[in-house]
Amino acid sequence: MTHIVSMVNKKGVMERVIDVTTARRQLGTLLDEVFYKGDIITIERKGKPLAKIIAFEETDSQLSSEQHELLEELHSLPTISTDQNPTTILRNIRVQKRIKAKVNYAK
Amino acid sequence: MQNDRFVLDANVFLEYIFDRELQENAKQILQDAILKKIQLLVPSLLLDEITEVLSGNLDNLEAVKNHLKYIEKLAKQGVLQIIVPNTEVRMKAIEIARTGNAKSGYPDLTDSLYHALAILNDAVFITNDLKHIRKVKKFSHIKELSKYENISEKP
Repeated sequence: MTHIVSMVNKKGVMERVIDVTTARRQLGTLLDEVFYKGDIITIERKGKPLAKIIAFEETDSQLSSEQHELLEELHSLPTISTDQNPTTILRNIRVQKRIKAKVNYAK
Repeated sequence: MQNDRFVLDANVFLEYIFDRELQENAKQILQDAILKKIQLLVPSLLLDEITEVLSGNLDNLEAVKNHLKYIEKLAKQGVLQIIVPNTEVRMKAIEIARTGNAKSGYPDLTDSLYHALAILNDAVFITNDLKHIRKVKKFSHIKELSKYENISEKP
């Protein structure tokens, strides 16, 4: 396989840059390396990086800690139970405001 | 889905907070916004409306506080853009509120403020209030919460 550049990044992950022709020819092998070894592969054409192949499960780690925290809270915040439909409650509040506004205008 | 900018009605948050049948749709929208797939805009009155509905729940004030804090956090981290409606938005809202007829009813000004914000920002107003949708069909820029699709499933 033609590697233009090959190096181990700060996280100990092998990162390689390959050209489009190699990527096209060896896509299956590249996908295996990305999926099973965790390699990261950049594909370039005429010296210009076009795309990066990264294991699907690693895409989540691209999220910031704030995003992780917000997602975690979104799925874990205890909900509040009610017998009433909150959309109806909100609708009634809005209607009441409209009635009050009408009354005030009539005065 | 054509547009990636949405204005959320307060009832979308209420579906989530009260674990109603469209909770998953509401969560999906918030998740898409956290993942930066979409942008969310809300008028500043949203917080007051949510607080007003939540204030009826005196049994679980801690949960009420946590949900309000979460919305605040969404805003602080830029997931939710809170906008004080300007005159242009307010005038558009008045225009919407003056449409309708005695039979179908007239749109409320509050609903219209959300809707106007969406129209003027080329966004889509997401609401669970089907009555309002029926009254304002001609203005478009509006969609039922139940019809929100995961933006990542877009072809």
